[in-house]
This record gives sequence, C-alpha cells and structure tokens, in this order.
Amino acid sequence: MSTKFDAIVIGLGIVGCSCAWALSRRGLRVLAVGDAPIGGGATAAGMGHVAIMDDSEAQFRLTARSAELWMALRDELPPEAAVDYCGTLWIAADEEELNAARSKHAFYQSRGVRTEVLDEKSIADAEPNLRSGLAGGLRIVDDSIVYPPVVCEWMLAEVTRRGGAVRFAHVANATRTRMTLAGGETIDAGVVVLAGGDASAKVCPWLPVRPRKGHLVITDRYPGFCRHELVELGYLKNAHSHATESVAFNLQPRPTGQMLLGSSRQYGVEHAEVEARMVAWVIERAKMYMPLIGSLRVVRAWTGFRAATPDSLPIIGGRDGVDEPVVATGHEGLGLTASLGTAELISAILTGAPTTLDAGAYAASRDFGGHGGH
Amino acid sequence: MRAERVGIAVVGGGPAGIAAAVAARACGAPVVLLDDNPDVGGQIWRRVQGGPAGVWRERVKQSGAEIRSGVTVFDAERTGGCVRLRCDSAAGPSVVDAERVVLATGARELFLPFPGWTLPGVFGVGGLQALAKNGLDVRGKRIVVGGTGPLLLAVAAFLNEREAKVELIAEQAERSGLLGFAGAVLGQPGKLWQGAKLRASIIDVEYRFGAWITEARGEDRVRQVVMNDGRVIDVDAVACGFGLVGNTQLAQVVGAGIGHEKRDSEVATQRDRAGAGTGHLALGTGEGRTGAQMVQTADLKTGPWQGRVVVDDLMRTSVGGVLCAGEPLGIGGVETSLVEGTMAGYSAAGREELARGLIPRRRRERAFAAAMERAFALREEVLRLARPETIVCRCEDVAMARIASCDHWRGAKLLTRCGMGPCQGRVCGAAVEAMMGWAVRDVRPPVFPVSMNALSATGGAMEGA
Ligand SMILES: Cc1cc2nc3c(=O)[nH]c(=O)nc-3n(C[C@H](O)[C@H](O)[C@H](O)COP(=O)(O)OP(=O)(O)OC[C@H]3O[C@@H](n4cnc5c(N)ncnc54)[C@H](O)[C@@H]3O)c2cc1C
Ligand SMILES: Cc1cc2nc3c(=O)[nH]c(=O)nc-3n(C[C@H](O)[C@H](O)[C@H](O)COP(=O)(O)OP(=O)(O)OC[C@H]3O[C@@H](n4cnc5c(N)ncnc54)[C@H](O)[C@@H]3O)c2cc1C
Repeated sequence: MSTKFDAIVIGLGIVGCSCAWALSRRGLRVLAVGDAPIGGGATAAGMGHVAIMDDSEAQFRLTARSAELWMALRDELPPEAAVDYCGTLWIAADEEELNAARSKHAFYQSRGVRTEVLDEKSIADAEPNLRSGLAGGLRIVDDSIVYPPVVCEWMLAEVTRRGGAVRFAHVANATRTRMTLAGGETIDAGVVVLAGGDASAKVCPWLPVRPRKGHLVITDRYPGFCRHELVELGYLKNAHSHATESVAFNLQPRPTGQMLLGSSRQYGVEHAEVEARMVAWVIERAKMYMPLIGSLRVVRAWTGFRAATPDSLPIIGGRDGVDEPVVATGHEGLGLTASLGTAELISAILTGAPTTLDAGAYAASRDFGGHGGH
Repeated sequence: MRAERVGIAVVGGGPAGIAAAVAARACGAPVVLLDDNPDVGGQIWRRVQGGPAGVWRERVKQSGAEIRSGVTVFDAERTGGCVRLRCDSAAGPSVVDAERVVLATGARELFLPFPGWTLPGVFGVGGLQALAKNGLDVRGKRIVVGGTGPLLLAVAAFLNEREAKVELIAEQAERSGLLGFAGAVLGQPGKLWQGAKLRASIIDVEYRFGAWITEARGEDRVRQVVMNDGRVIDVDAVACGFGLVGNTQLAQVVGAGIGHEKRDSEVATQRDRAGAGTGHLALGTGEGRTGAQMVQTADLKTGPWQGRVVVDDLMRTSVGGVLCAGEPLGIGGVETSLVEGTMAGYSAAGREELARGLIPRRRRERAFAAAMERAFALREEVLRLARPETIVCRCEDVAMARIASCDHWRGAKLLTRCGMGPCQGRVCGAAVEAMMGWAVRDVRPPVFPVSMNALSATGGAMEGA
C-alpha cells in the first residue's frame, strides 16, 4: 500500500468504530478493517442500552464516564441513531431486592448519578403493565438507549473524512504494527488495535475471552406498553454468575413502539441459531413481571455473542514487550455502553490524550486468576 | 398445547399442497395438511367452486388426509429424527413432529416501488382481486392495470366482469419478447386456450406492450398515473403486478439450500455493483440449524435475482425429511405446482418410482415456466423507477437513497432498518432483491408474527406457572 496509516483498528463493531473515531479525532489516519458489515457482530445483536453499572468500582467508572461521553455526543449523532433518554428501572420483586435497590441508590448518589427509589405504588404508576405486588425499584434517570449500527456508520464516516479508510477483509494475524489479511496482503501502521469482539482470541490466542450467547426477541408495535428500560434486580446476580445458562427479564421500549425483550446468557454454545427453548425461557421470565406480555406479537428472534472475561471487566491496552496488537475487547454485556470510555482510554494510551480513567483496572497485563496471561 | 407425531405433514393448501396430500394418501401414508387460510385452495382456487378447483378440493377432502385450516406454521426445525413444525391458530399453538414434511408454501406478490406507490388506491393485482372478491365495490371505477405477466390479464378480466372500467392494461414486456413465449405455448394447447379466453373477455380494453406506469399522483389518494410515454390517465385505482416471489422463508429457517447469487456470499467489498443483475447465479451453501450443506445443483439461469429452494428430482431439499413443491422452487403456475406436489407426495410416501414417472412432465412444465419468466422478465427501467425519495420499506419509512448507499442487504438492514419492521422484509426484501441484485437470505424464526405465548408454549417452557 502506498498510503501509510498511523493506526489500524480491527473490528467494525461499536468498540472498533469508537476507537477508530477517537484516534482520528486526535489527528491519526486510521484504517478500520472488519470481516462483517459496519456495526455487525455483537453490536448488531445487542440491545443498545447505555447503562451506568455498579458491580465494581472499575465497572462503574468506565460506564459512568462512557455515559457522560454518550451524553456529550447526543446532538452530533444523526436522528437515525435513535437516542432516547428513557432511563432504567430496576425492578425489586421483594423486600430483599428493594434493600439492594436502596444500597445501590446510596452508591450512585455518593458518585453524583441521579437515581430515585420507587415504592410499590410509584413503580406501578411508572409502569402500569408491571404486575401488582412488586416491592418497588430503582430508577437511573440518565440511562439511555441508542441504535448502535447507525452510530458505527457515523463514526466511520468521520474517520474517512479525516483521511482514514474502511476496508472489508478478514485479518489472519497481526502484530503491534502489522496486519496480515486472509489473502496474504500485509499492511503496516504505527499501531494495530484489535477490537474483534468474541473472535479476538483468534488473533490473540492468550486472550481470556469466551463467547457468551444471548437471545433477544422484538415485538410488533405497542406504543406506551412500557416506558423505561426495565431490568429485574436479579439481573446482576445472573449476569455475573458464571452459570452455564441463565435468563433475566430485560425489556426495552424502542422509539418505533416496538419492544426488545431479553435476555439469556449461555456458555458453551457456538452455533448462532435461535433456540426455541431459550426463547420460551426468556418469555416465561418476562411473564413473571408483565403477565400481559404473553399476548403481544413477536416479529422476530435472534442471537448474539458477548465477549466474556473471567473478572467481568474488559481488556483495554497492550502488554509490554509482546509483539501483538493493543486490544479493546471483553466487554460482555456492556460493550455498547463502555465503547466510548474504552476509546478514550485507547486514545490516552496511544496518543497521550487526557482521560480521567485509570488504565490499570482494565490492563491486558492484569492477573486473570490462572486464565490467559501465559 | 397440542403436540403430536405424524407421518407426513404438508404445509400449504394450494394446488401443490393439495396434490401432495392426495398423492401421499393414495400410497396409504398418513397425512396432515396445514394451511393458514379458512379453506384449502391456495391463491388461485380460494373461493372458486367448479372446475379443477372443485375437483381437487373434493379429491383432497375424500383422500383421508387430515385437513387443518387456519393454522400458521411459523417455525420448522430438524430435530431428533423428525421435523418439528411450530404452529399457531385461533385454537391455540401446537407442535407437529413429522417424519417427512412437504413445504408447499406458494408465492406472494412482488411489489416494486415507484413514485406514488404508497398512495391509497394503489394495490397489488392480487390484493385488489382479493378485496373485490371480499365485497369491495369496483363498479364504474377507473382502473389502470400495470406491470407484467399473465396475471394482469386474469385480473383485468376479473375486474371487467365486476363492471370496473379498466382504462388500460400496461404490459412492460415488448411484444417481440413474447414471440418466443408463444413458441413455448404452442406445445401447450391448454394454456394457449386459456390465454385466448382471457383475451376475449377483455376485448374492449386497451392492452399495451412496452408500457408501464412511471408515477402515481394524487394528494390524499391516487388520482392519476403517468405512463412511460408521458401519457397521463385519470384513475380511481391502480392495480400493479410485477410478478410473484416464492415463499421460501420456512425452507430457509429449516436450513434448506437456496440457490442464489454468488456476489452476496463474498461479504460485499467496495461499492462495486458492476455485476448486479447480470443473471450470474451460483448455489449457496444452505447452512441452517442442522448445518446441512447444499448437496444438489440445479439450473438456475433464469431470474437473476430470485432465490429459490433447491431440490433433486424427487423434490427433496438439502435437509433430510424436508421436501418442497410449487412456487418456492421458482414461479411455475398451477400445472407445475400440481405435478410437483404429486411428485413430492409420492416421494414422501416412499414411492419414488411413481415420482420418477412424472419427471418428464415436470421438465415440460418447468421449461414452459422458464420461457414465461424470460418473456416477462422485468426490464431495467421498471427496476429503476424508484426515485431517491421514494419509500421502499413502508414499515420503517426507508427511502431509496438510503438503501442505494449500502453495499448489501445485511448492511442496508443494519444501517437503515429496512426490513426490520412488522413485515420483516416480506415486502421490501423481495423488492430490494430485484432492484439491487442482492440476495436476501436472513430469515429467522418466527417466519410470521406470533404471540409470545405461542412462541413460549411451542418452545418448551422452563419457568412460570
Ligand atoms: C443479546 C445481547 C444484548 C446486549 N445488550 C447490550 C446493551 O443493552 N448494552 C450494552 O452496553 N451492551 C450490550 N451487549 C453487549 C454489546 O453488544 C457488546 O459488548 C458490544 O457490541 C461489543 O462490541 P465489539 O465492537 O467489541 O464487538 P462486535 O460488535 O462483535 O464487533 C467485533 C467485530 O470484529 C470483527 N472481527 C473479529 N475478528 C476479526 C478478524 N480477525 N478480522 C476482521 N474482523 C474481525 C467481527 O466480525 C465483528 O464484526 C449485548 C450483547 C448481546 C449479545
Ligand atoms: C396474489 C396472487 C394472485 C394470483 N392470482 C392468480 C390468478 O388469478 N390466476 C392464476 O392462474 N394464477 C394466479 N396466481 C398464481 C397461482 O397462485 C399459483 O400459480 C398457484 O396457486 C401456485 O400453487 P401453490 O400450491 O404452489 O401455492 P399457493 O396457491 O400460493 O398455496 C400456498 C398455500 O400455503 C399457505 N401457506 C404458506 N405459508 C404457510 C405457512 N407457513 N403456514 C401455513 N400455511 C402457509 C398459503 O396461505 C397458501 O394457502 C396468483 C398468485 C398470487 C400470489
């Protein structure tokens, strides 16, 4: 190739696109490469919920900073990105879960995130289609939803406008400064960033990321049926338990009046086919919270793969002294949310751009407790 | 919920499905016929009493096949030695596990976008026919019938009978192109007669070749159409028919191999549409739930864009136990559907020699269908009628310009949400396939919208009461 790029980013999902975009904003000429359409991969399959999470301090920092960046971007994004600040409503089924909601509230409050505890009556008012008798819930005011593929397209258009390029090809292997395409062609650049989602370990075999399959269904249009992104509080337990299979109620109102219903988590399944059994499970779980949902019509079901890590935190950065790409992956169920913070961190690591994030918590060189790192 | 095991399940109660059920029963095999309409007959014999319609309906009713009308099959999966069909109906969801399945799911109309096509009063030919049969009063209404194919004549004749004022039948094909077709018809006296009869019943209607509607105009509803020669005609309604597309969704979901264009399989690179619409066809790898690979090859040189289910001489698809007949194999018309249905019925019942005996007849019918397809192939100008601002996907309000800026169907879906609405691309998918030359192959269950309860009940519930 005659033109030399400052950086190559592998993967055109939301994480790769964000990294390419952030680097190009810092003046780098970026080549973004992927073997699936723009915004394909997990990004196309995901729900698009931008959620500030509190499982760990590191997770909170990354998601909260990312939410800030999403907020700052909202007016720049095209209308098709369908940004909607609908907020999240965590549902507490019983007193124990309501207590959990209260401690979360305290956690968020002390860190400046706007939240509100709802009792039995106010959650019923907020979401009339929830079953009666729920203990209450927690509302995260500034959580939002977005349609990620359009954001990816927009970001890559910016990258191209700043002298970068987009290329559709499979990357066979890569070092810190060179990638080799499936056809044998090699391209050099100042640095190579790998954002290949759950397939990242194919390029960097040491990466401790495991595909974790999820099912979603989308309904016909029922405007007003639900108003917030709804999540059961058992979700955290499920999402982070490493059980082979789990399901948690998660419902999202789309601006079209359609709703996305999820979600399941499965390890050890490699095929992407929709499993009727899992779909049934997701639906039955939802009916425990919203009995009327059973009569709504589903127009389609699909699946996607999250990139899970042993400690439930993403892997962002490079390992010193190893000739391999800098990585940005392992976001499990939060990659859409965390993409912007991840890109900021990558940009800080590679260009010295400012960030409030501490790279150490997500470092590739951290101890994964016997997984990877060898 | 009803769950059962059956010998042969036939999906679709049109000519192909009826013939399959009758043939399989004649061999003594147990048959369940599932169809989503109130009565068997399919697109053409719906509500038709006498003639072949009456004869075949009577045959299937006497055959001993168990006919279940009003049942929609929304998912099919190869599992545990059988094919599982997931169904829904007014009576509730059900599961049918069949040793063999004959997919006879017929066809739907192709809608091609052109300026004004979304105005009230613009119908598909089949749609308008169905509405009129259901009581819509067309008496005295000025109607232009436009598009392509023999269906235009059939519908114009029907509308004429109902005392509509058919102003013009605009056939986009050139008369010269139809000469070859006439040659094919000569070997088929029955068909010629049928055509002549139709022609006679609309003798006073202007019938034009090389003519097509370029625009429908009106504020609240269609008032005028503009023809390709600039002529403007005042109308009360428009009936468009751009041909039919086979319903291959269920076959795709079960993993049956589909013949399609090669271009799309190499995940589109650069914005290179050079080869689009040149009719270069290759067979895809029909990977489905079973991971089944395409095993058969077929001559798919006609119809550059339309994907079709690939079968062998015994109507078997690439998925074990799944057979297919009629329109999903390529638009062929009633006679083709009857022959193929019969072959599929024999084949499913294990009487392969009987099926083989019909191979020459099938070949003749398919040759005729192929000639017809060539004769009425959509011309480039008609495929390019949509303007940048013309809506292509009505569910999601996606205009042509947005779609044209994409490289392939999956990209267009992701970036424009085209085909992501309630119809899941049943309408716009076929149009985009025709206009852009992209293969549209991403069907996922359910193939028809279905209630959460039905999905859950047929999927095997894990939680709840
Ligand atoms: C069901 C489900 C629901 C979800 N809901 C949410 C949510 O509500 N909120 C949220 O924040 N997150 C959610 N997620 C998670 C989120 O979707 C992912 O974390 C995120 O999309 C990951 O983005 P990515 O760019 O890392 O990976 P991907 O989107 O998977 O993109 C990686 C891309 O890299 C390409 N690639 C890989 N290897 C190569 C190679 N060698 N050569 C070329 N290209 C390569 C792949 O083809 C792929 O397109 C959900 C995930 C699932 C499955
Ligand atoms: C709108 C329209 C109008 C037509 N009008 C004429 C005409 O006037 N004259 C003429 O000669 N030809 C006409 N045709 C063509 C004619 O229908 C076909 O040549 C012939 O009927 C094909 O027979 P078939 O059995 O293959 O399919 P079809 O007759 O289409 O039968 C398929 C049947 O399967 C059912 N089905 C499909 N999927 C499922 C499912 N998943 N679950 C349950 N049931 C299912 C359908 O509802 C239908 O009843 C028309 C076609 C269409 C689409």
